[in-house]
Amino acid sequence: MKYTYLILFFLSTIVNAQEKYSINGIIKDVATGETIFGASIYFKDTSIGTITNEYGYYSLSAPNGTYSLVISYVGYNTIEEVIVLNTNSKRNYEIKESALSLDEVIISSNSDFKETNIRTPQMSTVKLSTKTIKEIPAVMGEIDIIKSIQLLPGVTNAGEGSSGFNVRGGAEDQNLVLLDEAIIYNSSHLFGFFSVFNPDAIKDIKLYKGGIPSRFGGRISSVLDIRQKDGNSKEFKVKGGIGTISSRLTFEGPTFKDKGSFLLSGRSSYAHLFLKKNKAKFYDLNLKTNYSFNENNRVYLSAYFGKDNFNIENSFANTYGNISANLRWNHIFSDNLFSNMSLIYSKYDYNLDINNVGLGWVSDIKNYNIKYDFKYYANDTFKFDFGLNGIYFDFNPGLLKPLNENSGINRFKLDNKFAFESSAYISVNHKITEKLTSEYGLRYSNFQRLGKQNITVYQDNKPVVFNSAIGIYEEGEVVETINFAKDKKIASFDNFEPRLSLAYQINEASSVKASFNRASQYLHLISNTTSATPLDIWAPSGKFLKPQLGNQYAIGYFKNIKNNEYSFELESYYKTVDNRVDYVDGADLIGQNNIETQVLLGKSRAYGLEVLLRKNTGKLTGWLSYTLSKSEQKTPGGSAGGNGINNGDWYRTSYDRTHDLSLTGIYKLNDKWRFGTSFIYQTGRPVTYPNGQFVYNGLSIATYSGRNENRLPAYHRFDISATLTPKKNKNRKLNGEWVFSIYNIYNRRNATSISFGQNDNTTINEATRTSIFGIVPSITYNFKF
Amino acid sequence: MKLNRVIIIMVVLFSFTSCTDVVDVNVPTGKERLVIEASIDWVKGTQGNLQQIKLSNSTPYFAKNTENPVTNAEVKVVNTNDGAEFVFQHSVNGLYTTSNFIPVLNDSYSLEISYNGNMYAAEETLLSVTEITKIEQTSENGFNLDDSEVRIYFNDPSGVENYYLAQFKSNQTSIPYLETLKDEFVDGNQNFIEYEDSNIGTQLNIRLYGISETYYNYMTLLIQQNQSDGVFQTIPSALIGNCKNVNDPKEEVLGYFRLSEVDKTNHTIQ
Repeated sequence: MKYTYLILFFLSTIVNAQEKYSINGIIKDVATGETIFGASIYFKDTSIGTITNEYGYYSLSAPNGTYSLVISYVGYNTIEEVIVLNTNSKRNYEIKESALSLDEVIISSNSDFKETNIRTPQMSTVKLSTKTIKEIPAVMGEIDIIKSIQLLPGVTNAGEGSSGFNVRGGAEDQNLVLLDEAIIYNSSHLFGFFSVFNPDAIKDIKLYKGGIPSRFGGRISSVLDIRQKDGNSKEFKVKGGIGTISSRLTFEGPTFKDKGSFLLSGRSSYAHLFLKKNKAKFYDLNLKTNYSFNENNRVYLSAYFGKDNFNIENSFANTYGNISANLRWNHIFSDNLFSNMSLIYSKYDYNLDINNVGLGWVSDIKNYNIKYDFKYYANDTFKFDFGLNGIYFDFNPGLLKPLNENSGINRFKLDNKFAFESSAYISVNHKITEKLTSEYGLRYSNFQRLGKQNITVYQDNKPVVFNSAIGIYEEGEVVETINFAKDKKIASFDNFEPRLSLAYQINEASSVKASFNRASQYLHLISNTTSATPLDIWAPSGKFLKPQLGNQYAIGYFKNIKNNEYSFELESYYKTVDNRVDYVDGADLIGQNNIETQVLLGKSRAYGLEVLLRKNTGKLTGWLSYTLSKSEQKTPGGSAGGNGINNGDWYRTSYDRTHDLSLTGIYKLNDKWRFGTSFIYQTGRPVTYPNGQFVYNGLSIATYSGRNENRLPAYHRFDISATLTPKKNKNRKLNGEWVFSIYNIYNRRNATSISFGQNDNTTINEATRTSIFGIVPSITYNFKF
Repeated sequence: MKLNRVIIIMVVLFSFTSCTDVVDVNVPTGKERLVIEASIDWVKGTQGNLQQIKLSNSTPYFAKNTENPVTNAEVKVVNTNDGAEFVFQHSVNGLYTTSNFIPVLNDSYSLEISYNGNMYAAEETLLSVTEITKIEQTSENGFNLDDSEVRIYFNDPSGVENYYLAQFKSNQTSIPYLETLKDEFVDGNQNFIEYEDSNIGTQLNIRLYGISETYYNYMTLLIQQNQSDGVFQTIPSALIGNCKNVNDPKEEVLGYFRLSEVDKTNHTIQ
């Protein structure tokens, strides 16, 4: 007996002492050459495996031996290949899209159990392909990425007509929206009706609602990572769509003697042709090109340019838009070290001309960003992510100028503000045991607020002071202004942001996950309205505006039912944020050079329970998503004195939605017809209602109850769409489909806002509800050749 | 053939169906609060001896009858520079009047009201106003080309902080139109305040008041709250005036005590 143990012991040491070899490479789509992000690649019947990164790259290492290598990805045929691992080698693969559309999995979280044994600790994330989004009925036939993520648990918006979205009871400015790594400051067109992302140019979308990996920072609530397509590297393709509000056209194809590809995509509205005196229009242009020097080096250039334009009878003209550009270099150092370096520029600008007053207003925010990210696939137990990031910000909060000689406006420039945010991070993906995987990491961020700027110094260092005699907050007294030279430090902050995620696999089909993340946010969105509008201004932290600091704890349970025919996800979160800014009553923000005189710092907290039940296979697929949550904030007077806002008590944030329910269904009748439906129900937005009136100067003036104590009526609507794909003739180059859709089929007038005032004729007070969309039918024709 | 037809087809089937509707809403009812409308106006070219102060109580928001007068208060205004006292007597419906007021530019005055066992007080300065130089009516500017714009022009004194309140009262409606202006961006320039109307024959009664910075802040907020509309609503705020209950400073007293010199004029829309 003893000898048996000894022999076994020696054998095991021999096995451990065996050489480990690695394979690495890029996984692409065989038809288009697009890299695949999130494909699973693993050795069958072992626990060795990984997922391809954003550039389609993977690296696997295992002991010397013969293995069956499996590559799988939702919507694609699985590849299996026997390989003999006795040397380090490069293996690139191309996988083919599945023709069996009936078995398509619509959305994938990162917990794919049936096919792989990957137990990723990633939780609170959703990955959507544009194929999925195209199935969901949309406003006026326009596919919308931002609207699609709102069908998932934990994501809501402030109502129709508002830009931005809210994640887990967080504010609109707490979402990091990235288009090919460039920060997009305003993700909507036409004040929130559409998003700026042309779905024909987009490949993947990943939304992190919690458990945010260390490589992301700068925003507290979420990261919406949007990746553009690289461009078909196999053949030249044209596709587009003609719709009732806008049309799209995309060209893509191989270039540089097949060593690269390009993508040029444009979208434009033509509503201005039909609105006579008023014009509302927008356009987007996406460009991407790439070139592979060799197997280990690839360079990309991505750019985006978009603009919105409003013109009301030539008296009021408003334009705003984002520009971004990113030059990237993927370099594979060795079999298991991948790197990406990016140089990024992005700008958001806003112009407003009011002709009858002769007022012109210009404001913008620019940033220059350099980042270097590494992924080191050490072995099967450890994978490391580490990197550096530096962003230089140039804020122009506003320039007021006269438009013509008759204008009474004097030219006035709000001070430009400058800042430099840098960070370094390291993250470890650690397979602790067969069943327990963890990802833990640390991000260090540093923010320097710099000159050249004149900084105001206040009496007693108080920019806001409570005047107890009249019970309101007033601007603090200015003692002097100090001039800070260019790049001289005005204020600096630094923070350590630990991140931790754990996943424990209970059995083949279910797992439990938990995560903690701490994040800091150095920019604040200043807005005096209840929803984010383009007039809002981004302000950097400084002497008085402290960085927002957030902690999020989340726990979840995930289960695949009946061999992944159904899946069930349950998540619960708790979030706290410090230094959440809120505006004093009557805050004066337009043309305000010193924002610190209009705000108080407070804190916010949010908690909730999210449920997602999906049906993944069969003719009928879809999901049911439900979130029960609460989001509130508290803003005491602090050093300014007084009680603060709402008497220093907790009050609901304007994005608190107790119930958020979405039911989405997609039915594939046959090859020709498919139908989509979605039903959404959300508790009404918190608002402040009047509780009385008094007469002053001939007007009836309202008095109000506590901040956000009341609610608008609940928001709900039902949309349907039908897609007709005429029988394709294989010899025909042109493929097309017709999409018929009806938004808000029972014509519910959802209140965007309710305002109170006197009726002009009867002078009696009345409540007026503004709603934007009633029933909206539309037709779109999509084509490609 | 099919290709061309398909590319040419452009279906335009959209109905931009946004709209506003009057709806029934349940709002809470807060407690009754005292409203002090103490506006001492010294119209240029007059003696300014006839003055009136209105006292009332607040009512529920949708109440059809907004009259809730306070008839049993004692009202007095004192010139704190020279000590002159002016007692206001209740005449009718919460209106307290006096006929011997003496307005002095830049003097500071205090208001004292005794009501329900409490003493209410406020202080303000009587500020001057520059005169209206001309009135013009055009229809070129503005959001709605069918509307005419009536503008009053005045020259802002340079180097001094000035604040203005303009009131346009049309004979077509009992709701006046108010607008405030500060000279922060327009100091020393010729300025105008404008009113839009589309009805020919409407008679306008126009007044320009010189006001203090705190009253400017109060009225700007009041107007913003009152005319706040639709998608870009601002945050509702309490309007805190300068009148306080001396016995119970926590009490919310509505309204304001202001004193201004006024220039007035009339215009008929052509």
